[in-house]
Amino acid sequence: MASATMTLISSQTLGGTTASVTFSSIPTSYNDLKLVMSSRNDGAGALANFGIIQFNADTGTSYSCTYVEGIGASATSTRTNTTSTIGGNHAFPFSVNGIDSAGNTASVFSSNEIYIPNYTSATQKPFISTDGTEQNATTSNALGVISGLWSGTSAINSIKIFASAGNFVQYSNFYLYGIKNS
Amino acid sequence: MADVLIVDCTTGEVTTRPQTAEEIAAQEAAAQTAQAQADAKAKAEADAQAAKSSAISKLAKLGLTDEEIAALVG
Repeated sequence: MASATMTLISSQTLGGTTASVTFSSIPTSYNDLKLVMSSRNDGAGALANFGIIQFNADTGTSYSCTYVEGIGASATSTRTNTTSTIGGNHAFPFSVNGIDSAGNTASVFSSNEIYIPNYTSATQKPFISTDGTEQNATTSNALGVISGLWSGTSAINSIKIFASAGNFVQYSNFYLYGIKNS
Repeated sequence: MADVLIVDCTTGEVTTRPQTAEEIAAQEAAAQTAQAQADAKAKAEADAQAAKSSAISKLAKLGLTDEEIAALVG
């Protein structure tokens, strides 16, 4: 009996400050994709900038999502439509409270997981993302959950990961997995 | 200047190159927009908190107890 498998397609550990990471020419041989990240931003302040992703170099009005963000005891829900921008970019946010940055405890990295089912579909593609970040080591942590939809009708063949401002710092990690259900 | 990293997932080839002038300009413009969005969000949150504080004060003046106010506004 065939069993499901999760295969590491690529992993990247940054050797220096990097503005963006792009996984291109993603094979179509899997059913789903999973992106796992441990990242930190060089922006000033704490949780200074959003993490964001774009599919297939699509910078148009193709992205919408609902996200819930919690910091300490407070939680809010936000809806973005296709005309919304995240830091001036048509894209999906991840680390919706902001990526750990210069104002956070040194060497603390935000963690993120993004699951993209049926990424080769010719119809619109939903995805879900969860993230955890430190707001301040002595007070609270932050959590985000995102349900998104990319209205592109091509198979997802590239994923660009960047921040609403600033750059990813050295030792940020990015893992792309392909999942086969049989 | 930060680099851009591109991974070809089919061949495994990794390309690292400096950002182009166009990419830098786009990043700087996005950063300005992000700051404006963050400022607007912070103002909205501060306004909401001020409105909540004002409402609590008015409810107290109407004679509601702290427990009753908490039941209404959390």
